[in-house]
This record gives sequence, C-alpha cells and structure tokens, in this order.
Amino acid sequence: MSRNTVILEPNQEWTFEVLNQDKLSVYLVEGKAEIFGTELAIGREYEFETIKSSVFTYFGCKLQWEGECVEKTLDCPGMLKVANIHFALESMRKKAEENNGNGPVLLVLGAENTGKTSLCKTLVSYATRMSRFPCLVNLDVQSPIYSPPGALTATPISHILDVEEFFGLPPINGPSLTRNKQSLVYTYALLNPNTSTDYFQNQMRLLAEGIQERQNKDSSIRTSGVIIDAPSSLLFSKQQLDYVLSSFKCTAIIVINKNKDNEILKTEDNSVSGIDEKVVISTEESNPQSDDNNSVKKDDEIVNESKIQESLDKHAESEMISEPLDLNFDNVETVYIDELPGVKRNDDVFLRQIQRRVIQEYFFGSNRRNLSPFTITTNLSNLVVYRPLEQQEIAKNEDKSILLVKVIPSAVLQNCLLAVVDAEPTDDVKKIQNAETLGYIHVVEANEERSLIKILLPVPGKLPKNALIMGDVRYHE
Amino acid sequence: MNREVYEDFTEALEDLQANSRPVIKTLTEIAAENVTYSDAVVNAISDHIKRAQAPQKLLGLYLLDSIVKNLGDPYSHLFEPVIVDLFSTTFTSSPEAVKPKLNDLFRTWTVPNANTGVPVFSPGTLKLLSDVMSKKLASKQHSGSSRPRINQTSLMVEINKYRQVLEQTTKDAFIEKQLSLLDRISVNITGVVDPKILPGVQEELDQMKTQFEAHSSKQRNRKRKNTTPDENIGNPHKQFQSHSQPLNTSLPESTYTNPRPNQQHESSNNDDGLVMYDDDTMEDKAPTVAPPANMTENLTVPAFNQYIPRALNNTLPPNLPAVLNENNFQFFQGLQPGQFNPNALNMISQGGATAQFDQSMLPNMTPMANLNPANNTLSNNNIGLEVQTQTFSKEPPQSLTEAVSTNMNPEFINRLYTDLSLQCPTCGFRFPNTEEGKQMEIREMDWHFRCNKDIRENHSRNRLYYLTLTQWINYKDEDEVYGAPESEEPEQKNDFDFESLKSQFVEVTSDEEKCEVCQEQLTSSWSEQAENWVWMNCIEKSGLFFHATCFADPENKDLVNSILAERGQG
Repeated sequence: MSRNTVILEPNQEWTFEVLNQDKLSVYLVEGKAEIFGTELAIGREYEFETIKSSVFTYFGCKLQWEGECVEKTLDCPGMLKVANIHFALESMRKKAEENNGNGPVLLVLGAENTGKTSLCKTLVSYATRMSRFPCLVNLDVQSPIYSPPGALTATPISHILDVEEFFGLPPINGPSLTRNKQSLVYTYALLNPNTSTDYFQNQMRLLAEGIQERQNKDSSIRTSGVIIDAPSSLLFSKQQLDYVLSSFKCTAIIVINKNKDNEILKTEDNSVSGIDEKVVISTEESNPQSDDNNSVKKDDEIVNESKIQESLDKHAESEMISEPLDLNFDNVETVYIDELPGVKRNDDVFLRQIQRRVIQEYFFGSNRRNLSPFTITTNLSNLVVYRPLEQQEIAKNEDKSILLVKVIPSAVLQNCLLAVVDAEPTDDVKKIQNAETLGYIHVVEANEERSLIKILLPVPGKLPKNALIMGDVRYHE
Repeated sequence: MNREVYEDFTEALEDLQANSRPVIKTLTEIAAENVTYSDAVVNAISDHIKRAQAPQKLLGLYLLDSIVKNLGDPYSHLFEPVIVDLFSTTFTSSPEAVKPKLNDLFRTWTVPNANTGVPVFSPGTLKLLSDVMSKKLASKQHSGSSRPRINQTSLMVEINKYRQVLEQTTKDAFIEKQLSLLDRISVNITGVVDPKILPGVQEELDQMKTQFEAHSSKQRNRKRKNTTPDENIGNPHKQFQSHSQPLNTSLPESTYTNPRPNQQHESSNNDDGLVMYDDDTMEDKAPTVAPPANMTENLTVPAFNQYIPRALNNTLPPNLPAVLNENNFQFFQGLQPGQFNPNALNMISQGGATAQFDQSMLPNMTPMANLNPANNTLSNNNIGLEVQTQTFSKEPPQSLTEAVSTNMNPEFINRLYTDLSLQCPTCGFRFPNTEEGKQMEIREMDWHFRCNKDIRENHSRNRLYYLTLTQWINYKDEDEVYGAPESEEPEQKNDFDFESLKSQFVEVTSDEEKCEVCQEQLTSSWSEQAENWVWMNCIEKSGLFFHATCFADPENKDLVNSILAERGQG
C-alpha cells in the first residue's frame, strides 16, 4: 500500500518494467511529464500491466507509484533531439499545407530493440498536439499495433494515445476511454516477414495504395504525413527496403544507431531473434491439447516445425551474410540518431506476453473497460480457411501470383487466431489475398470427431460469412 | 488493550495538525497494524473529529478517507454507522471555503474504489451524506428557507440565471471554464432525463456557485493587492517562510479553496477516487506561487529576477540577477514562456521548508543553462556549468539533417506544452487557448463524462470490426475529434421508453439464462405482482431470452434479427 516517490529533474526519465502478473499504479503529483510524447494528467492514476515504459520530463516533476516493478531513473538529454526532429517534421507539414502538397513520409529503421516503436509513438503524439493527423504505419508484424500480431496496419492518429496500453486496439460499440482510431489492416498472418516475401510485399503494397487513396480525399491526412515503424529485418534486405521506399513514397529515413557497447552483440541478437520465433511457435503448438487430438495433428505439427526450422535457418543465413545496407537514396533524406538510454530490451518471453495481452484485450477488453465477446459452436465445414504460401511453395507454383492456399478445417485450427477478410468464401483466391482484414476470430476448440468447432467472436452474432486466413498466431485462455 | 490502543491512537492524532500526506500515511499504517483493535481506532478517530477545531476536523476526515480507501474492511464497516454524523458535524462547522473540499471528498466516495471495485460506503449511507450536503448547501443559499423539490425545469431556470450572472462578469479563464461546465450540465439535463440525476446536477451547480463566490472574493482581494504589487510578488522570501507553518485558520482562505488551479473545476470528472492530500512542502503554493492564469501574465521575466536570488537562499552572488536575462537562464526559460511555473520553486524548495537550494541538483536542472561562471560561486562544486554564449535558432529546423545537427532552442518545448494552455484534467490532452480550442475542451470533457457514465452503467460492450477499405478511405478523423454534427447518443436512446421496458418480465424457467445480445446472465428477483421468481427487464422470443432494453435498442436491431433468423433455421 505504500507509495514511493520519484522526483525527476528536467530531461530525466523514469523507466519501469511491469512483468508477469504484476500491477503498477503511477501518479503525476506535480510538474509536467509524458510517456512517449503523451502528456500525463496530474493526479490521475495510471495503471500498468505487462509493459516496459518510461515517464520523461522536460520540466521536472514528482511522481508516485505503488505496486511491483523494476524501475530506474536515467538522464535522457537525447529527447531534445527527438523534439527537434518533431519540429523539423512540423516545418515540412507547414510547407505541405502551403503548397497543397504531401507531408513528410518518414521511415524509422534500426536493429532490434533500439526504440523504433517508442520514437514513432513520440513523434505521432507530438504531431497530434499540433492538431495534425499523422498516419502511423506498422510494418513489424511481431509488434501488435492497433491489431493483434501478424498484421500490417495504417492508423491516422488524431487524438491522445492510451499510455496504459501497448498501443491500442480497434474501437468498441460505445464510448471508449480514448478517442477512436480507425485502422486499415492487411493481415500477413505469419510472424517472420521472410517466410513469404511475396505475400508480405503484396500486403505492404495494398496498405500503401490504401493510404494514398485516403490522402487524395483527405487533405489533413495528406499534409500530416506518414510515420512508418519498420521491422529490423528491413535493414538487411535491399530488395524489401527498396520496395518500402517506393511503395510508400518515403521522403526521409531515420536510422537509430545501436549503442556502441551493444554493437558487438549484433549477430548474436539476430540469432536470438531467430530462436524467438521458434519459441513462439513451438511452445504454443505443444500446449496441452484436448484428448481429441489425433495423429494427423501430430504429423502436421512435425511438418510445421521442420518447415519452420528450415525457414529460420535460411533467415539466419541470409542475415549473417548481409551487411547493413547503404542507405543513400535519391530524394530521400537519411539521418542517424543514437538510441536513447532507456531503450527497452524486449526479450522473446516479454514479447510473447505483450502479444498475448493484446489478443486477450482484443476480445475481452482491459481492466478499465471490460468487453463481452460472443462464443458460437458450428460445424467445421462452415469455415473456409486459407493460409499464406511460403516462398518456396510460391516458387514451385505455375502461377506465381497466387499467394494463399486453402486449408481443410481440422483440429489444426485449434487455438488459432484467424483473420476475417473482406471477401466471400466463394471468391477467387486472388481476390481473397488482396482483401483487407475486418477482424479476428479465435478457435477455442476444434473437435474433428464430432466435426464441431467452438469460436470466440469479438462481435455478437453469427460466424461472419467471409474467407478466413490462418497463420502463426496462436492463443489459448 | 482496547483502551491502550485508543489512547495511543488519540495521542498519535495530535500529529495531524497540517494537511500532510506523510502523516496521514503513517497514521493509516498504524491503523493497518492495529486492525485487531479496529473499533478502538475508529472510536479514537471519531472522537478526534468531534472534538477538534474545524481545520483538524477536515484532516480527520482525510485520514478516515485514507483508511477506508486503502484498508477497506473492517474499517469501512465500522465507520459506516458514524460517517454521516462526522461528516455533517464537519460540514456545519467548516468555513464556506472549505465546503467544496468536503464536497470533493464526498464525490470520491461515490465512485467505485480502485481496490475493491465498489464504493467505500453503502448506497444508503451515500444517499444520507448527499442529503446532508444538499440540505446544508441549500439552506446556505436560500438563507434558511428550504429548497423546493428539484425538478428539471426549475434546474434549467437556475442554470440560465447563473449563466446570465457569469456573462455579466468580466471574462477570464475561470469564468470561461464555468460557462463551459454550465454548457455541459445543460446538455445533460436537456430532453428526457432520469430524474435521479437531478440532485447530482444540482449539487454540481451549487458547487460551481461556491467556487464562483470564492473566485470573485479573490478577484476583489487581488484588485486591492495589485495596487501594492511589491508585497504580492516582490517578496517571495516572506512566502517561503510560511512553508514551515502548519495549516491553520489564519492562513488566507485561498489556501483551502484553490490547491490546484488547473484542477479545481474537474471534480465531476475525477472518477479515480483520489483525494489529493497536499505534501508539507507544497501546502501553500497555491496562493503565492501559482496565481490564476490572468495574473501570471504579469509575472514575466523581470519578476523571476526577484525570485531567484532569494529562492537560492543567497548562495548566488548579488550580481547574478544581472546575467539572468531572457537568453541565458534556460532552466526557467524552459519552464515557462513569460509565465512562472509553481513547480520550479517546488523543485527548488523540495529539500526543506526553508527553501535550501541543493546545489547538486543544478547541473541537471540546467541542462542548457549558460550561467556565467566567471562570477558564479556555484562553480566551486565543479559541477560543470559551461561557459557558453550559445545562441539558438529562432526558427524551428527545416530538415531532419538540421534537426539532428543543431541543438534545439529549449523555448520550442513550450509549443508542445504551455503554449497550449488549456488542458483536459482527465486525460491531459492540451488545446490552444482560442475559441476553437475552448470548444474542443468542452467536447473533450463531455466525452469523458459520457464514457465514465457508460462505464458506471455497466453497459455490455464489444469490439467492432475494422472499417472496410472503402469506408476507411472515406472516413474523416475530424468527425471523431471535432464531433460529427448532432448525433449524440442520448437522443437515440430517447426513441424508446426505458422505464416501461425495464418493468417487463418473464417468469424464471431455468437456473441460468443469459441475454442473447449482451451475453450477461439474467438475474432473478421475486415479483409480488407475478407471485413468482422473475427476470426483470426481460422478454422471450422463440425460446431465446433477451434484456428488454437490449432487444429494443435500435443499435442492436441487425443483431437481434440475425440471432432470430439463425434460430429459425437451426
């Protein structure tokens, strides 16, 4: 019950990590402070769970906290640089407004855990204070931004962000704690962008086209520009980087340099990230299953794992060979900044906790705002499910523009998060692979013997009559 | 043993002389340790509140508040029978200026406690408390004559009268805020409303009036003071001395009424159940260091120079003020553009009541300070105040390359903060102090109000699907942020009659049934009318059960149809 007091001097930050089932409450007692660019209200209780975050102040402030966390106070003068970048972007937005042109399109690059998402968050938050509506694009499928993991999203940010959340989720049918943010979402369903490069690029292209259409209609979105949070793998793949730069028409790149001390660890980090993905999948696949599991399932599991291992090896290999790319491009301004001292090292365990939390909140809401999802039981045969083809599979196909393949609904769906896309089950596969995502459903139980499937829907009603996409994302309650 | 605890605790209560968080915290901890003798503790506190002078009575209630909120049972149970008495005694004996504080305290009891999810006292007790206050407030305003029964029309009339009074008063930030609050209140009671909310609205209105009175009396005081500005702002030293004094009746009344200038109007939005106990170190910042908005405008840089040497308790040489000009005293610059930030002095005075300046804090506090070290005794600690005559660009950077290669002019930070001087007390979002900004702030508060109401009413909610590509391309974020033209929720709700729907019932047929729409379990109750157990607010269609209100809600029309259609097929 006792409250701890933290006094921050100007340009200091207080970082905290709340892990496992711990809870933390933070109060701003006096002064002015922000969490990744979002100002805190004095006296309000901010509650945190499963988060690594930090409170920064330009002015000095007094905080109080209670609960369990790992915390530290750091000097963080580098934030002034971030603010200066914001003001440069703002100058560009003003120019765009005067010339009726396009605002800046900024791509944020950096190795794993260099604070890319935090930088993007801060920059969009600052922009909203200037009444701008910057469009935040997330290309990192591991990072659940306005969607459970596995998706590419574009979200105009028009109002304050919810600092208690990792980022945020789609709106609910009633007043919510923060203003609604409406995202355009294309699912990739997999968690490694290299597993199905063509599908990944296809989804990026669709997202970029959607944004450009929106910009054509909406001048405040156009002049406010775009901020793109990219996966670290983009630093190593020239082809993908070129693809991003041209499809989103990027005008600027910020590269976050890893701290010198961490530089040596770079290759190790990559291999660690490789193991990550294996862990995500293997633990989730080996979750205790019901007795209904049959041998088909087990075979499938083995196949899956060997495939995954294969693709991981390839991924690791390609990264080991490649050097960080030369980032000099015509018409693109590239700058380098150092990572901020309070950067969060998100290990695989933590990343999985975050992903889990976001999926749970997608259906059940948060502590402050409970939601009532809807459970239905239906026949397995009522589902029309596709999965992305892996890159080798695409290469083997005659028509290389086909990126999805139908999956026979079976026990393999158990625990899967399925993306509901805006296409009829009877539509051509090419229409389905180009359809935007409308939401997600969760397979609580798939019983092959009785041919029944129990599904959690976010929205009450029937099973949507849409095509579904399955991938790497699993969840069980 | 009970006796002993009673005596010990009574003695400990003697420490409760000032509004100090540490003391309240310690006493709460003692109460926690003595939970086995909780009735002795409760008696000690009750007797203390009854005996004490008015200011200490309030502090006693703050302690009580801390105990019931943090420790809960058995304390909340034990205080329950006596709280109405204690509260009403305190209310009667407190000066007018303190009453809003009691009102604020009461409000925090009406919302669910963060620890338990339910209010600290039972609805019956809260009702009594609210009666106590409305009666007291009413008798005050109508000088003894009891207020007629509140109804919607009379409330509207009263609101409009008050609006006229406000409109005839000289406009300032406070009045503007009151007007915007008034707008919000009148929106809430326009159209068909639940009569149960009226007393709450009345109370809010009464509170606003009280604040208005306090404000106008302060305005009058200020006018007097402004004729001798030196006394007011020119002598911070004198004000610092009062840090060491306990809170007592001789302090100016604004100490009580206005502890947080930004927050005083937000009580209806503050649903976090928080009462702010002031710390010793900042208990009297309000009247002196944080004058209301219209006054800070006079407190420009020259005024700092008078503050600083004294604030630093003469550790700086007398010639320092000469070098403190607009460009080189970045710390204070960064804090406020032409305004003085109360926190700065608090930071400085953090070390102790006598405002001793802790020199080790300086390097961090002045990250870009250019104090001239040539005649600066602070440098004897070797704390690295560099000799720089760095000048910052007056223009923001035009390119990223410029942004990363130059040092930012710290003044720019204010564009993200103090230049946007209106701030939503609930979420912290800022708005420019313009007509448009004010409108946005009103909408913002209204938004939080509706959201909190919705949460309290515990409507069942669910996630929505994303927009389709076409919908997204045509979506306007402006509608979300600036408000779409007239499509407020309450008006939709008025299309059907809630009360008559709620009285519909179905006799209980099985142990558990849930509403097909919201998935909530139906709760059974005994009906005299049906002489059976029934589910109230319930209807049955094709063997399925629905809340009558869920079923009738036009928003659920498609869903209900699809559920029934599915039932028809299967």
